[in-house]
Amino acid sequence: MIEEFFAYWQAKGFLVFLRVFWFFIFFEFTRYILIDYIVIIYYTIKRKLNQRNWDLARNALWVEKPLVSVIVPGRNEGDNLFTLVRSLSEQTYNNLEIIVVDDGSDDQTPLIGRSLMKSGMITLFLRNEDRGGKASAANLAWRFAKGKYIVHLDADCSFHFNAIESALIPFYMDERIGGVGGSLEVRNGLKNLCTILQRIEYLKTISLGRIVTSTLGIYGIISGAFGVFRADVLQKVKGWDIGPGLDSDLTTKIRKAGYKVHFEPDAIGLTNVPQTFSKLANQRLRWNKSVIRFRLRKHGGLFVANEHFSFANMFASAESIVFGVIFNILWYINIFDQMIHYPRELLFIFPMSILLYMIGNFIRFFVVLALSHEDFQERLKLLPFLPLMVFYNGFYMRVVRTIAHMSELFFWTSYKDSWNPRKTSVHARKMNI
Amino acid sequence: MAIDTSNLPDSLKFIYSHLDVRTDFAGYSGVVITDVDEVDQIRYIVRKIRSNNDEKISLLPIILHTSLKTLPSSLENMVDLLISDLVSQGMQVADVVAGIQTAIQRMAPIQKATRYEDHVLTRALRFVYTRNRKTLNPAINDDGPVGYVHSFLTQFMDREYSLDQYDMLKLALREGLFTSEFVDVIYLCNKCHSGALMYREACPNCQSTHLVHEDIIHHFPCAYVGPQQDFVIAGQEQDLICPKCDKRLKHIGVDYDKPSSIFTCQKCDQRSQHPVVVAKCCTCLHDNPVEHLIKREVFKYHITAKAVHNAVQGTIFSMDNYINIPGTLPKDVFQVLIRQEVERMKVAKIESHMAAIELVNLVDLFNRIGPDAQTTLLTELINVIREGLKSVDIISIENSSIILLGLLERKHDEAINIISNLIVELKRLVRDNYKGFEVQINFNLNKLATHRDAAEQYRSLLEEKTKA
Ligand SMILES: [Zn+2]
Ligand SMILES: [Zn+2]
Ligand SMILES: [Zn+2]
Repeated sequence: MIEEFFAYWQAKGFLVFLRVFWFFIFFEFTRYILIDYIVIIYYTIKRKLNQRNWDLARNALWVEKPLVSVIVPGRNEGDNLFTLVRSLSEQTYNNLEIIVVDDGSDDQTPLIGRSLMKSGMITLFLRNEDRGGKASAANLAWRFAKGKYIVHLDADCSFHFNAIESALIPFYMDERIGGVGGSLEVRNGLKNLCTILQRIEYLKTISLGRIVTSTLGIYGIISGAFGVFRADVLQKVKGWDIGPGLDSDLTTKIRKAGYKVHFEPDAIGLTNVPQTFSKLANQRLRWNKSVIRFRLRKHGGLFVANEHFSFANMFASAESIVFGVIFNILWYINIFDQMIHYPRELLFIFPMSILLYMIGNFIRFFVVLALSHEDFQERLKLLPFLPLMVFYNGFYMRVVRTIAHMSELFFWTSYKDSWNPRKTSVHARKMNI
Repeated sequence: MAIDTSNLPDSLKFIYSHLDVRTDFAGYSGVVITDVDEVDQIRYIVRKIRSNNDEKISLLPIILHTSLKTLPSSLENMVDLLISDLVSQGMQVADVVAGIQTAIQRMAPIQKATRYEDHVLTRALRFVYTRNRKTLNPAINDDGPVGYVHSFLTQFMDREYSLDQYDMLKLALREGLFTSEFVDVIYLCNKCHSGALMYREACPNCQSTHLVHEDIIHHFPCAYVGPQQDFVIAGQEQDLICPKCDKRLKHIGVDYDKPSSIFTCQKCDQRSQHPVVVAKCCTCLHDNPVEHLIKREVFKYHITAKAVHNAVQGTIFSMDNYINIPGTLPKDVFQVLIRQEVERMKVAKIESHMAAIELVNLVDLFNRIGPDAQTTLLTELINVIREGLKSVDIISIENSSIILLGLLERKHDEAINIISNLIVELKRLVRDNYKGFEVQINFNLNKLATHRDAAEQYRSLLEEKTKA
């Protein structure tokens, strides 16, 4: 059986192989393996050479020691607040003010928030009795923030002891940096298969992917779960607009205003991910819809030459569209191509596809292992689950992504999303954003 | 002024001014205060009489003849009759005086109590008994401290407006002299115990009351959120204009709303949505954070048969007297040792017990024999118990009839044996000393459990009904 399989592909020769798997070889392999390897090697060398600059920047940070405002907008996050606040109190960088905004929680969050403020563990606790949506909660916190830098966090995250310091240092290395994104890893990554696969995904696609885009200067999304912004830059772009997708929206606005954005892999936060595949699907539907909504609709102007035009911005925006939307379409074309032109060989094509993606996964994961420090052993334990990633990425995520793109392109469903209160969604829809 | 006293008993003493309280009261059966129209003077006179150390004087019926329409209820509770006309109400006066004097005759002479609290309580009970009052209502204290006063008690205390009255009443309740019915809760100044307080919102940071409140506005289209002031532009004060998108706000609920408000402290600039509440004392001007205020529950009290019995006997003996009996431990120490024993049991394989011994009808005997004899009897009872136990075992007196034992490192059979022997010995002791009195003794025996909280085991031992 297996012999037959290999004999078949040997007989077909390399050209037929190319013809059948053109999508994998020219697109997936090139983008995710070849380019990544080259960029990561470049990044590693540059980082080594830059060590002295890093140390100088760090000194500069400590000499100035500016006030940094940590803002935490959220809804029904009371139970997470204590864990968050404790990890903040352990930060090496300690000139912090913490502002928590409770956006209309209907649980015990107000009670917890008030007592944390009373005990002095947070600087300011604000509550909107009526829910206003995540953007308005962030804006409210930001309105009362006094810091030179604004750290935007999700309440269900916690942070490595030096996370905030590491995220601040890049501002002192390059004054054109307007925002820094931290690296997110999965805290509940050993809970079940769903979270284990997400943990691999975060390490492989999200963290690694962001090192690559950041090195190439086309890093397009500072995660709201852990993002640091210069207060004056936030002022220029006037804070957050209505979500969902407000993270990539804000990042785009910062880039449009002429600032760089930077991904800092040493600034590590842990987040809890959805624990069931249906909850995960909901989350990803929201994320993928926002690609259409913000990249194409709101910031479509990035593709038109005007005074704000820059190639990096165009690529930054294009990156998520090309690899999110167009790659998705190409994949379908490839499948149809295989079914139409090689209907009888599908029995050989299908296992080969899986084999190729599997090998690809292992090759990429070696980079993850190579870049890990003390958590090498931990990450090694993920290896047995790698083959499953083919199905996770290749089928599950692809289906979710396709549904999201279709429904948003044709039905504008994100405006009906209960994630935002209705009172704000109707305005967003009216203004085409 | 000539007073027509033809309808009145002969032996009444008339008081016309506060100066008259210095004169001799001996031989009179009642007091009539007349022609004194100052409330403070009346109060002074009444207190002077009630606080006299000689019960012949302090329990005298006091009749207040006055034209005053209203009296503070605290004062009203201390006098026995209010009349407006001595002639037409003479019979009433005679009845009241006779009733009280008869009740006084029925009581045995008051005995000297060992503790101040017991002494004051006994006097109060005798007052209540002679006035045949069944229910005792607290009175609002309109002139300042402690909120409510319990005049039936405070008239015998050195300091009328003292928080001590609440402690004493708690003690009386615990001793079964009263049953209680909830009336109110009071909050008092932490510094001077005054109930006259002014509540205001203050800055949680610096306690300043100089706060400015502002609405927070959320502009829906652009998600800008900020205080109302942000939306006011100089020269266009009548409009609200969004500082982010420059649009004019049109219709609350449609394009904007006010999800909350915030205050800014004008002294220290602190912002918060949650001012603290501070109570200023109108008497001493102290600013009390509300959580520092003194809180007391106020009850009205109903007299029990035990209280009547004590009043007639002229003595009460509260369990607080038991504290110093040799061989026993204070309750809290006992509980600590039980807790330690439970901890020890978790590591060592031992079995220990806790027992409650109830001397069911001992109170009847105590009421017969007077305070000194009570202490002696109790000391002897404890001696008998001590002799029947090992030195590691512990004893504590829970209340006037329950004694607790900690039987450490004893098997169940062994514990049962010890207690049965103790009961026999205790009964014999009482029988030998007080001929004809048979004390009834019940008990509870519980094995200490390692999986249960020690304090909880202590409580449940007391809550379970003891068995013969
Ligand atoms: Zn203040
Ligand atoms: Zn606006
Ligand atoms: Zn005071």
